[in-house]
Amino acid sequence: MALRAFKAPKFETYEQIVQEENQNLRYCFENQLLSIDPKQRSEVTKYTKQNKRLRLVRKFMIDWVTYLAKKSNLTLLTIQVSIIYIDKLFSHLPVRHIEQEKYLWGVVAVLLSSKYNEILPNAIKLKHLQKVSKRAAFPSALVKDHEQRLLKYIKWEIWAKPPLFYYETFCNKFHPEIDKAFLENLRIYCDLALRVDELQKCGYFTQFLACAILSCDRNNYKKSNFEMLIDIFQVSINDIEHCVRILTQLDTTEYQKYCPRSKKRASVSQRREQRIYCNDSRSKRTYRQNLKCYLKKKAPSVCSERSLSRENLARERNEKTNKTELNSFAIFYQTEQNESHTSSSALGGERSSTKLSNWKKFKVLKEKSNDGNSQSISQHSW
Amino acid sequence: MEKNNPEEFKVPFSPLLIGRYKMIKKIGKGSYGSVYKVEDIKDRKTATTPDSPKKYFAVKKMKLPANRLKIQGIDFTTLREINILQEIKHENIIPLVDVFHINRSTFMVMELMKSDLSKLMFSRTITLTIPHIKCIMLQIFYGLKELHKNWIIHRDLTPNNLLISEDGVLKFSDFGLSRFFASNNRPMTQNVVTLHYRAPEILFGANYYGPQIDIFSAGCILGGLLLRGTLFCGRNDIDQMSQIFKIMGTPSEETWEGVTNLPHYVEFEETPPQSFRILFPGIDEDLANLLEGLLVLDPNKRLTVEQCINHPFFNKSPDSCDPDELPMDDIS
Repeated sequence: MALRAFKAPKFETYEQIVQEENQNLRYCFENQLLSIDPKQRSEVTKYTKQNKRLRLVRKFMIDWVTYLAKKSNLTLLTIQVSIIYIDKLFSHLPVRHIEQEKYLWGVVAVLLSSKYNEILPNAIKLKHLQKVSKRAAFPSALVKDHEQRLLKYIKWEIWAKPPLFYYETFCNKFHPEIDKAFLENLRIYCDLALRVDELQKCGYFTQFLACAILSCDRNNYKKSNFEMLIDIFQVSINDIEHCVRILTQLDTTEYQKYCPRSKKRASVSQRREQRIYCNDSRSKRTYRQNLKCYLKKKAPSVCSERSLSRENLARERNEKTNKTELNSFAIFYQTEQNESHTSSSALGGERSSTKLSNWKKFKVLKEKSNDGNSQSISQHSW
Repeated sequence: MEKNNPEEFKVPFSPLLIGRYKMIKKIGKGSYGSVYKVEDIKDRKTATTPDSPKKYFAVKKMKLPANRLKIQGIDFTTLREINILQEIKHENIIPLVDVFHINRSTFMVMELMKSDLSKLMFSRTITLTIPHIKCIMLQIFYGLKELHKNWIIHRDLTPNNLLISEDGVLKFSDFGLSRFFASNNRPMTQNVVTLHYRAPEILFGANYYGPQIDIFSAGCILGGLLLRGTLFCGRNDIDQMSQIFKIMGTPSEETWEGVTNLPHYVEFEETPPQSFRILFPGIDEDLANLLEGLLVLDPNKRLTVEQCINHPFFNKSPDSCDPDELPMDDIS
């Protein structure tokens, strides 16, 4: 009887992704970006000085951390804290050392961040973490030892305030006067700024990045809101301007990267592997695909193409109506869609029904505005 | 004299910590662990002149139940304390010099302080005048202001946790129970603050509370400074509440909105509030007002830190003394 050859678990092989990455990397602004010397050098800058390989390991570790945290019902803030710990570790330790034990470091980062952020009954337990990590389960003594090592490497600098913390504390709770749609976008950008390592190339803290992206956002930008944000985050306009300059370059590359013209179909093993990496088990998408979807769905500045196509559709349907009405509808629909998306995602409502209701709302508004001037519609929608 | 006390020389580990801190003696012990006086040897080695003064620090060895260490690794209270001490740099908050880990124990190196407020408060040989009390209370409020500005509640404000340096500068310590109060609408635990300094909303089992609990503790400390003892000295939660209500009056929906909805609300025998001028005869009217404002039962009506700092009591003569004028020499 022929013995079946031993197969190592497929979870660890990201060399294939490295190859794929190299094929897709047709553009490289890296040299340009690294030559820029930002005023505020942070840990992130140290990290960006390291090689391309690090980015892949980081990406993988973020997936792993997110997987562990989701299985343990930890909050998004805890995930962000653990990402900060991973970044701190990268700034203090060479990549090759982390790469060998990336699962273990991920487990340690989650454990530490849950202790730091979660309240006592929700704080993760080592036993549970071992259960969740399945193949990558480590003996508790090893985890504890690495926990001490991590703290030693980061010189006990456990202070970690992710951008979501600012959002939750200052904007959401203490500044209710800021628009909800604007806040929702800020939250998304804060999350993106931390998760997409491409954006971290600028070497700025995530709150700078979030502010910079928001300042580029035409749909939800308001001067008063922006000024308030600058006050809250305590960032200078010069830094934001500098950040924007870099981001404008990055934005195009990001778009190209996530929407390549020709992409080879992955092999069966690669696809299986991608499923394991994937955060959303139901849709079985990879992190990058999720992100692409995320960018398209939520970030209005990035999904300009999609919104434009919808606008065109609306134009075709309502050929008889005059131009001013159409423009106001497009603006109204777009902004309403942003708002309804946030509410529907929170309540799990139907997205298809929002379109109809928006149109009805628009009609009611239009009727009302017949008495007054037509500009009031667009003002209201804004 | 020192040789007679075996506790002082009982050092459970190597006398030289991480090759830098030389153990001198044990200076304190509590629920958190033990505190040792150490000398920084590295600093002496690097000193340019041989006659440079020795640098002493206090090392706090965090105690942890053996079973908890086995299960969870580093304690979360230690992590939070380190986090807060790293984040806040203020004159009235004790600075964290170094942190290290040896044999499953975490050590925190902090500035060495001469004494704590309890010694000053309960000593019968020291006379505390109004300028002294003003100086102490202002320092407490400045420290609290810094904490509350950074969205932190101390949650264990007692005279034992307020350390005083040789210059009379008061510093907050023991942030093991502290937490951010603005992060989320997450419920908070009721097992915080030493019983004698616990606010009535915590005694009634409120799941959501704010920085007002620190203000109440500060009020208890001010009362203690005037009384030269503990203001509300209850044996358990119910006794503590009855002690508070004897002076502040029994709460009702009229005086404290929503009190009856609190989880552990118990109806007490109705007692009218007493004036602090009767309780402490001869005290200033502004001081009595300040005390009342600090110890109001309804947390929403309680004074904020900024209101306390700008209170007329502190603007009136006699002015507050300088910290170095506090009677530190008289502390044994």
